[in-house]
Parts: sequence; structure tokens; C-alpha cells
Amino acid sequence: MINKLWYLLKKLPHNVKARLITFSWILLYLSTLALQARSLVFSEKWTSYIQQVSLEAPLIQGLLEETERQYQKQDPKIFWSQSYLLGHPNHLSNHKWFSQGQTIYLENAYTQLKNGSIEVIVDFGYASYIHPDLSRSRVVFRAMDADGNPIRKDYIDNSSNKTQLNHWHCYINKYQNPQTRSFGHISNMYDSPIFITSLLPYPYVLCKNP
Amino acid sequence: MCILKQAHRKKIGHILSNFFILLILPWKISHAQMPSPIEVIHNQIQADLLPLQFFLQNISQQVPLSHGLDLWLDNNKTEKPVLNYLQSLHAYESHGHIHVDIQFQSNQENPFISPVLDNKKVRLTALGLRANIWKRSSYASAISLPHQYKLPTHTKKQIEKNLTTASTNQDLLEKLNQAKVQISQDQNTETIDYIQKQNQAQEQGIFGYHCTRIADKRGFFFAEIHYPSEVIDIFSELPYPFNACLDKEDHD
Repeated sequence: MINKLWYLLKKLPHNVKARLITFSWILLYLSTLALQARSLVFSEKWTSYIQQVSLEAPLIQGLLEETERQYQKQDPKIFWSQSYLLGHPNHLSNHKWFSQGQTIYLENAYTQLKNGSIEVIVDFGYASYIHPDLSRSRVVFRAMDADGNPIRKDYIDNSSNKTQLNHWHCYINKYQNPQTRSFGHISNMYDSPIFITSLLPYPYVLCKNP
Repeated sequence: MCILKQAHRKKIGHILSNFFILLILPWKISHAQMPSPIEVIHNQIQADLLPLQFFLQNISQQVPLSHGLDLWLDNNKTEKPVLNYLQSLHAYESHGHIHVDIQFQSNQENPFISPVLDNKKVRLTALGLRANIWKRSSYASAISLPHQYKLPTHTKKQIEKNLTTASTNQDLLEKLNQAKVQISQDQNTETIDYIQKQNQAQEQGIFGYHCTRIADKRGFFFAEIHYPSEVIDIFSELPYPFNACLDKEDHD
């Protein structure tokens, strides 16, 4: 096939051949330009995403630390009797973890104990200025022990020693609903979304692509 | 045959030269293009980002050491201008709250400044653990240092004296370093531990800044691009701490 094409090309008059070669170079050049423009637009997209997530990341770190402190400090029976340790999931509630009106990109964040495990749920807000891939996204952090198992209420009931909270595990597809979107994905009109949590600060860097 | 070969070479040369013109000329043109207003703002903000971030970091370190914080980084007050598009940074304490006023240069001072930044002002307010407005009294009650970290009275007085007499941020840094040198000369490790503990605690105390944009004389705000048909607000695309500037205030 290639030999046949090469033979046909050789047979073409010189001027046609030259035009063909020039045309192919132009095509190659234009595709390079398009690729450059695409990478530039894309890098601007994720820079803004990272900056918006980074702004309030220390507040979520504070919430994780405070949850850990409460877990270590409180009596297990009192601790597990609460459905929501810190914050409140209701958007209209005044019991948010954060002061009203002070956060720019975060909508809400709270510690949930009602499922028998320690979970910190983080919701990003919805506004025109929020990055479209970030708005309405949700992240869930779950407290784990040293063996990598989730800390559960029944462990506490069955043993006299309190399991130490060792680290947090991040889930990006937990408790999603039609209103929420998966965290850490930058949409890409030419390809599948790109997962960028490795470029984000703690605690979001804990999130892995499922 | 020889003539044919020469013609062939000429053609190849012609194609190659065409290719280089096609490749290099548009590249040069694209690079010589006027940057967009957003690119200009990004570049000008980026130019002063490092001193600004250093200044904010410095505030976190100074706050526990001196009550009534008053730090300046002002182009008019330094021998050699240190800021490119910012005019001044002023950190101060008011009723226990920490504020940082960021003033951009005016068009008279710097003809190259973007109209979006021209003479604009933003005010940062320090936030605590829960995005609450940071207050000194609550901080003081939250930290109880162990007895062994108590500073010897004469050293404490010396540090406080040095810090209160410092007029600029630069002075403040020098004075702080002098104080630290003096302490290490005294081989008083407890004192150093005390300062480190204080700094560490304070770094945990200020979690970020709330930012308010203050209208200029014409009623325009920072990071708003005015087009005939619309106003585009680009604050959320800017780097920290400007991407926190959601709120606006009409008067200073």
C-alpha cells in the first residue's frame, strides 16, 4: 500500500508534488499551533481550579484536626451519640462549621457520625465565579486506623481500648447525588477529564482517582 | 541531467524556506501580540506576589510577639522601590482584629499599570480556624503556655522595645533577628523555644484572609474589567490572596 502511494507520488509532476509537500507541512504546523493553544487554555483552567481549592484548604485541615481532637477527647458513648459532630448538613442551618458568609468557594463542611463511621463531608458552592468543574463538587474524608480500616462505632462498643485515629482516606464518589459532581476532575473537551488532585494541597492531595 | 538536479534542489530549497517562513513568522507575530487585559492583570499581580506573600507570612510571625501590630511596606518610605505595581502594604491591629490594606499604584505613579488595578485598594482581614474573624483576645485565651516557656523579664522587655521602635517591615525583621541573636548569645534555649512555640501556635491561628474590595474615587473596584456592554469580574481567577476578594465596599 505504502509502496503504491510512493509510486503514485513519484509519478506526479514536480509542481504538484511540491504543492502537496508544502500543504502537508502547513497541516503539520497548524496542528502544532492548535495543540499549543489547547495546552495553554487547559493549563489556565487547572491553575484557577487549584487556586480556588487551595484558598480554603487550611479550613478543612482544621476541621479534620478538630474532629480528631474531639474523637480523642470525648467519651465514646457521648461521641457516637451525635449524628453530626461538627457543622450541619442542612444548607439553611446556622450550625455550619464555618462562619456564615466568610467562605468564598466552600458551601459547607461537617463531620457526620450517623453511619457508624467518622466522615467529614465537604461541599463546594455554586456561583458564577466558582470554577465550573469545582462548583457543586463533593469530597468525603473517612477516619481510618493504623491498619487502614475505617474507625467504626462497633469497634468502640466491643473493646475497652479506643482505636487510634491514624489517617484520613478520601472518597470522591461517595454520597453523590444529581446535584453534586465528582471532585478533582478538570473537563477536557478533546479527551476524557483529567484528574489533578496530586497538585492540590492537603487534605485534598489524599484523594485518589477511583 | 545536471540542470534537472539543480532545479530539483532549488525547489527543495524553496519549500524549506517557505516552511521556515510559515513556522517562524506566525510564531513571532503571536509572541509580539498585545496581551489581553486579563494577562496584563495576571502579570502585574504576579510581579508583586512574592513580597506580598512574605509580608503576610511575616504578620503571622509578628502577631503573637507584639500587641498593636503596625507594619508597613511602602514604596515611598523605602530608599529603593521594592514593589512594582503595589504602592503600599499596611498591616495593623484594630480592636484585636488584624487588617492588611493593599494599595495599588496610580496611573500618575506608574503609567504602565492596568486600569483595572489603577489606584485600587483591597483590605484583608485575618480569619481564624472556622473562617471567623480572628481576634487577639480569643487567641490569648486559647493558648496556655507551660511554665518553662516563660520568657525572662529583661529579654522580653528588650524584644518588645525593639519591636515597638521598628517603623518598617524591614526594620522589624532586622530587629527580630537581632533579638534572636542576642537570645542565642545568652544561650537561653528556653526563650527560643518560647518564640518558636508562639510562632507555631499563631501560624495555626490565622487560617487565611477575608478580602474586601474598596471602591476608588470613580466608584470602580479591583479586578473588574469594564466593557461597554458588561462588567467582567475576574477576582476568582487571580492568585491568593486576591481570589478571596468577593466582597465590595463603597467607602473606605
